[in-house]
This record gives sequence, C-alpha cells and structure tokens, in this order.
Amino acid sequence: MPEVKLVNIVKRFGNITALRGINLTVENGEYVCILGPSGCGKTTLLRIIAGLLKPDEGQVYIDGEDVTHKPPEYRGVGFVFQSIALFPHMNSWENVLYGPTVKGLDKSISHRIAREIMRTLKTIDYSGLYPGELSGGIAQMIAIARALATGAKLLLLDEPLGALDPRIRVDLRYELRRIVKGLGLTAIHVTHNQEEALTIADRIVVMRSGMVEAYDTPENLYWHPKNLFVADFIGKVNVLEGFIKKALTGGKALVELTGGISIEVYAKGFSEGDKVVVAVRPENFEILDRSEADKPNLLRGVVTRARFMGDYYRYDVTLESGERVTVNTPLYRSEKIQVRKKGEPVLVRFDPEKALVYAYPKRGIERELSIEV
Amino acid sequence: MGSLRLVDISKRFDRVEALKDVDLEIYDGEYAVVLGPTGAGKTTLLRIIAGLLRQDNGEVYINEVQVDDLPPEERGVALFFQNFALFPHMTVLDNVAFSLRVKGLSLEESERKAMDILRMVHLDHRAYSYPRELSGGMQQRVALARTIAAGVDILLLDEPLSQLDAKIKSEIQYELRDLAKSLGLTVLHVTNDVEEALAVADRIAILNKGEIVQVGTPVEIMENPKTAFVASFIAEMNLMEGVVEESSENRVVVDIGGGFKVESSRNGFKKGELVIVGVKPSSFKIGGDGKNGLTGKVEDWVFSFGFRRVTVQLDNGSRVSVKTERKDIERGSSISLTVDPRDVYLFPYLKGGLRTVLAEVSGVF
Repeated sequence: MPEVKLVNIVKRFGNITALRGINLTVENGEYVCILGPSGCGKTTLLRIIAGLLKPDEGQVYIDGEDVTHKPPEYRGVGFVFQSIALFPHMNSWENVLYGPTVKGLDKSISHRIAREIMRTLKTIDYSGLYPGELSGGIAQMIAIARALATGAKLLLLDEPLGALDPRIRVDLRYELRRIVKGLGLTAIHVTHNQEEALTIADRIVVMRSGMVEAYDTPENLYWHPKNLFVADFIGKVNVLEGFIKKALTGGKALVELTGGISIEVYAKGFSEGDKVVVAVRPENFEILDRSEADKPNLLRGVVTRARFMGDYYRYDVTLESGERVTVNTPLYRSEKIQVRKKGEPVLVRFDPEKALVYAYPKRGIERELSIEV
Repeated sequence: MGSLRLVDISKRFDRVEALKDVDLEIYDGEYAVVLGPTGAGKTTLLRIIAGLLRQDNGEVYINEVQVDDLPPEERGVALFFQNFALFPHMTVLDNVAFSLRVKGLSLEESERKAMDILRMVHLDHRAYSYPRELSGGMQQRVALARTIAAGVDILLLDEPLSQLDAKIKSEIQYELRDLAKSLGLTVLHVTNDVEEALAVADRIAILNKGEIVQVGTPVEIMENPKTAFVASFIAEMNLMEGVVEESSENRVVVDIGGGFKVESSRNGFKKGELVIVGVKPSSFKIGGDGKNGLTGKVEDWVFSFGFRRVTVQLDNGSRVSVKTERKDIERGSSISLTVDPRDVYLFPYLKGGLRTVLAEVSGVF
C-alpha cells in the first residue's frame, strides 16, 4: 500500500534541465496522471520514481523510505510501457508467470498468483497465445498482468494506451482504473491525452517544461484552472480579450471586450481598467437565435463552420469583433436541438459562472499558451 | 473532377480474406471516409485503388473508366501514406514545389503555388526550414501539402492525422476538410478514429473484417447503427443481451434478466427471439418516474469535459455507464435509472452473443 513522495527532484541532461525541482505526493491507493506536452519531462519523472534514472538532486520516498539510491527491483514497482514489451517466445501465461518465478517463489504459489491476476484482468482465455497472436489491447492487458504478478503494489504506466486503436483506448482506460481500484494499488500514469487523464485519474499533475503547473482533481482543473495555460491545456478554451470596466456586487465585474460589448463575469482581485482575458470552454457557450436578444452576455456572430460530431454539434462562430470562437452543443442537454447552418447569424452567450477570468498575460497570449516556458 | 466506383472487390492473403465483395461509390467532390478497426482491410483497399496491389476479383472505375490495367501514375489518384518520406536535403517549400516542377510548371509558378498550399496547412512560416527542424506533426502536414500539390482528382489518405498531437489534430481535421472542399477534390480517407471521421466526412463507410457493414452520412450512422458492432464501434454504447417477451407495432419488450424488462420503440423482432439491447450512456435519466425503470448501485464515477461518467452495477448483474451533468452522485449509493423507449436500440443477436461483438470491436477474432 504505497505512498510516493518526491522532494525537490532535479534532473539535467547535458545543459538541458529536464526537471526543475519537482515536489509531489501521491497518496496510498491514489490514481494519479502526469499530463503534459511532449518534452515536458513527464517520462523522465516516471523513470526516476521507478529507479531507472537517478535524479541529480532531491529524494524519492516510497512508503516513507528514502529509495533514491535503491535499485528498481527493491522498490516494489510494476512498469508498463507504451510499446508492449512482452517476451515474444513465451505465451501469455509464461509471460505472466515470469515475475513470480524469477522471484524464487514456490511453483504452486507462482501459478496461483498468475492465475488470479489473469482472472482479475479477464485475460485467462488468452493464456496459450503468443504475443504475436494477440490484438494490441489484449497484449497490453497481459503486460499489465505481468507487471502485477511481481507483487508490485505501485504501478507505473508510461503512455500505456498510446499505441492502441482510439476505440479500445477508451474502453481500456475504464478497465485500468477498475483494476487499480479493485486491487487497492497506487498508480502513476503518464499521458499526453487530456481526456484520458480526466477520466482515469483521482488527481492530475499538469507539467510544462520540467515544472508542475498544477496538481488537482479533474473537476477542479476543469472548473477552476489556476492559470490560462492549464485552462487551455485541459481541454480547449476560447480566449476573449478585454478590460475591467466596473466592479459589480457579489464578486462580479463588468468586462468590456475588444469588440466593445460589455459582459458580466466573476472576477476577484482586479481593479478597474485592468487588462484581462475571459476564457470560455466550447461546451459552456450556448447558441441562440438573433431574436433572443434579451439575455445577458450576448455576442453577435455568424456560423462559419458546422459539424455533427455524434454526441454534440460543433460550430465555429466568427464574432462581430472578428474573433473566432468554437461552440459545442451536446445533444444530451435538451430534448430538441436546433441545428445551425453555415452562414447563419446567431447569438452566442455564456453564464458568468462558467467564464474563467485571468490577468492579461505579460508576455502575450500566444507565449502564455505555448508548451515551452 | 473525380468519381470512384468499386465493384465486388475481393482480396485474399494466404488464408486471410482481407476484402470481401466490397462495393462502394464515391461521388465527384465528395469527402468519404472508410472507418474501421486496425486489421479491417482499410489500407489494402486504398492500395488496390491506387494500383499498388491487384485485387483477386472485382473492378475499380475512376471517372467511369475501368483502371485495373493502368499503372498507378495513370490513374489520376495520389496516395498519402502513414509513413511518408520527405526529401531531407530540400526545404519545406522545395519539397512541396517539387511535384509542381515535375508537372512542368516554371520555378516561379511552382513556388508561388507551393506557398499557397503551405498557407492552407499553416506552414508558410516554416517554408525555408528543413524537414529535420520540424516536429513530426509538421512534417506530416508538409507531406500532405506535397500530396495536394500533385494536383490529382482523387486524393487517397491513409490515416493522415495519426502522427499529430491530440490538441493539434482536433483543430487540423476540420481544416483538412475545408481545404479539400475549397480545392474541389474527391477524397477517400481511411482511419480507425471515429471523431476524425465525423469531423471530415460527407459519408462514412464502416469496414469490419474486410466487409463494408454500413454506409451513410455521419448523422445516419450515429442515429441508426444497423448492428451491435457498428453501434459500439462508433460510440460508447451499453449493450445487454435479452429475450423478446412481447412484440407489436413500434413496441418491443425485452427481458434482460433479473426481473428487468426494457421497452423499445424499434420494430422487426419476434417474440422469443434473442436480441442485443443498446442504450447510450447519455440516454439514461437518473431518478424520475419515466419508463423502463432500472435499479442498481453506483460503483464509481469519473469526470470528463463538464460531465460525469457514472458506472452503475445494475441489480441484474450487468454493468452500465451513465453520462450526467449532476454532481450529487456518490460512490456506493443506490441509484434508479429510466430510459425513453425511443432511445433503446435493438440489434440482431450474433452467434456467441455480446462477447463476440465486444471482441470484434477490440479487434480480437
């Protein structure tokens, strides 16, 4: 039942600093995703936890014990990679049995462990097949079974679903979470896929350029991201520029947007005249007919692209200010969805509580959202 | 101008039937997608159209001319591969202008056109970079620009967006469609990614184990999947096995075990018949007193973009997922669900049942 604690981890490769002082605690039994763009240092961090790499500074604690200088096999971790690394000359059963056997366990105990793990992962039917005969999804499940059969209570996963078909990737992430929770394991899972992180993790570490930008639950990251980078990285946001025109009661403020329209938002800690950005997620915009002009926070625009996306309609709307926003209209929200067409004049609106307001980034929006610091 | 018609195409590799009697028509100016899991035969189909592989049976018509005996370069098609290769010693601009030069355009003219195409794929600012200086996703866009510059009637795209980062891909897929439309190209694009297919396609053909199982517009396919395979491949759908207990016009009652009965407004199933019942996670309503009441326990929930996906262990032993914007769902609590009969899909039963369907979706045979 492991808890993982990282204290001020620094790692350099030549004159590149891959990790710049990472502090992080993963609780016992927690499923944590490390999410970040390629090159942010997420895999390096995972390899340091596993003991496959040594940090230049800082300590790794597992269950309160300093394991910084201990080899991987001492740490009780199971490792699963994106490229499915099964022994090609062994069948599934022999692959899973390998861990307990090399640990020197009694044959009957090894067999019992392998059988139980494969039953739990619903892979027992594939025991006799060789890796080359398995589909990607099943092969990855066997790789997970093999990692768990070593007795590991801490599972480290590096893009474990990255090489799979998109449809299987979705099914398998729920399966992965169920296994980890069912067996009471602790899991640290590296991914660059936002949806995967949101739907699998108890908490998400958002990394950029070797630093932790945020560490929070999926819901908090989605509804209250602490900066514009995190807001945009965890799903898309539409960014509108403006300034604080007037403070209102109840924590609200009036923001005048570039196009001259004033809107109401929740904004604390700003003064009148401050330049701000208002960020709204595509699914938090609503599309209305031009005739419904009596509601607050309305922006006039024209639909420039319309697509049916299965669960929702996705519209690009060019506002009168010239800014372009994306609006997603989920089908499950209402009984009757009015489908908009390209060229149709519409109104776009949002609830004040669904807009995120940030100080205008000093280095400009593009730099702020860039994956490099 | 480019239309494409495939008649009865079959292809066998040793013991594997890669394609079975494939019939497909793609109209001039249409953006068509062949969607299917890995191993369905998508790439084989493209290679046959391009003339890189000869089918065992059937004919390929391009602009109503049979092309089976024509070499690839005389068919008026361009194939964009998953594993493209750029000329490493040429700049991005030269890579794209190359195909125009080959066609006999002047240097100036080909560079001007190449620049236009680079602008469309958002790479005009990297025109003078070398391929090695670009990310994998950018290189893919250069390769795409080069294929478009070849100026053919029919563009065949084999997983053209697979190397892109999820965030970039979710933008560029729409632009790819816009680009094809603005150039008036006929496109056949193959992918295993449903979202990508929906983003670009006028029509989608679903390919499974070498057979086309359904063709339609995105709306037709999403709203009326014909089989349990199509339904669960294109969207997350809860599937359950059951037996038809009553059947009349627009009303079929299915016993799904454990005392639960589900009513559907679909037609065409007889009393006593085994069926597969499908319900989308977003079709379940929590609480309420609508039709088709089901009870169970909340096993877990996870958050996604603005909603929660709740896993419910039903009292009849099956497990379903429910999509909701409610925030008051607790793990371990009891829950009751209802679903409108109009949102209950019924699919023909397959030999081997649900297990077979799920195995097909995950590519296990």
